[in-house]
Amino acid sequence: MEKEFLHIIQKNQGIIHKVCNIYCDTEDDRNDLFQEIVVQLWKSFPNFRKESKVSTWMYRVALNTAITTFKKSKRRPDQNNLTYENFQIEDEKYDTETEENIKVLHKAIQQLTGIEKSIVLLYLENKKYEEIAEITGITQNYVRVKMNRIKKKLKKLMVTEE
Amino acid sequence: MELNELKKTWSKITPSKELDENQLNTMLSKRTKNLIERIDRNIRIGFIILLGLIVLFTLDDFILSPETIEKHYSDLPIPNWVLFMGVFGNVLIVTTFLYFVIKYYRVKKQCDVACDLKGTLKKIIETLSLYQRLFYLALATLLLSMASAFISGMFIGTEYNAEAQGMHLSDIETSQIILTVGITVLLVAVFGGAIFLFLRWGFRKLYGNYIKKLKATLRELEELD
Repeated sequence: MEKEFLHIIQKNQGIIHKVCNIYCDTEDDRNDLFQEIVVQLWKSFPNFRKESKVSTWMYRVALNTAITTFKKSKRRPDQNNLTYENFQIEDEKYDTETEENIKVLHKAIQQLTGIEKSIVLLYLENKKYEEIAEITGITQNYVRVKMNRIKKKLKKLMVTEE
Repeated sequence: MELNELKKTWSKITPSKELDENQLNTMLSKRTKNLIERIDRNIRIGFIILLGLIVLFTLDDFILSPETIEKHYSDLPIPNWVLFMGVFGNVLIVTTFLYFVIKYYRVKKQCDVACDLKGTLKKIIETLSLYQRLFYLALATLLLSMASAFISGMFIGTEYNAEAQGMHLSDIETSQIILTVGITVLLVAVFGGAIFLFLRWGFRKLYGNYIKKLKATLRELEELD
């Protein structure tokens, strides 16, 4: 079982990296959260009956952990880490404009609330409203309403960042 | 950047570091308990301590105290209300304890970590509230048994001393009895109040902001739903 679990996580670790990146400001926090998510996934793995997709299960556990994780003290964010340095642009898609856009998008996302971050992440990951509703536990209609509000908020924030 | 470009931009990024299976395995071996798991463990320890207290109080009410009275104060009749107070206190504590155990396992059964976000938030908030109330229950149990033991002890002791001096309880001045009871009630209230305030302050200091944050997140999630 452990082998199967590690294989799944290794193959889909991008999900965990993305969640850690939008919920944490510092490298240390990202590493702590990454480990906590992996541990929680391992604990819930025996109950994962493969009725839902692996990605849905991983997003659920990862977002639940990120939003409910108790931080004893707030570490001071290292300004150098407030960029997308944990991520890279695929070589063939690289251009300076894309890099700039990613920085602006990331800074705007950092200013959203915990719930907004989770909805926008799932939206950016091309998840359907039905799956977003399944992960967050709210209705599809509310996801739509919420997403429209977030888009407006993001637009404003990105204009400010630019 | 226009909003319709968001997904396009997002799709171009990939994580800069990829962990292999060995590194992931090392993470699993280093695991420790998170806050909720620690609270879960504390609640279970709390249940065991409370159960121990209940057994102790029951033994005291039904075996130890009657034996002591029988041995030393056999000529002294124990009024029914003193016995009733002991039994009532125990029934109250046992009932509340059972209510907590049932409620705890109901909350635990709600969902696991793979539940949806709303369900997870509700579960954690309920677990924390239960933990807080368990604190107060333990305190109330202690104070109730202290108060009940004091009242019965004071009554029987006074009556015994009065009888030893060839008097009856009704011979003692009412004002003196009222003064003694008043001072004691005040002491119990101050002592109990101080413990209560200290526990409440400690709990809020430890988890106050966390509970507030979780409740705000849940409110945001339920805003229109």
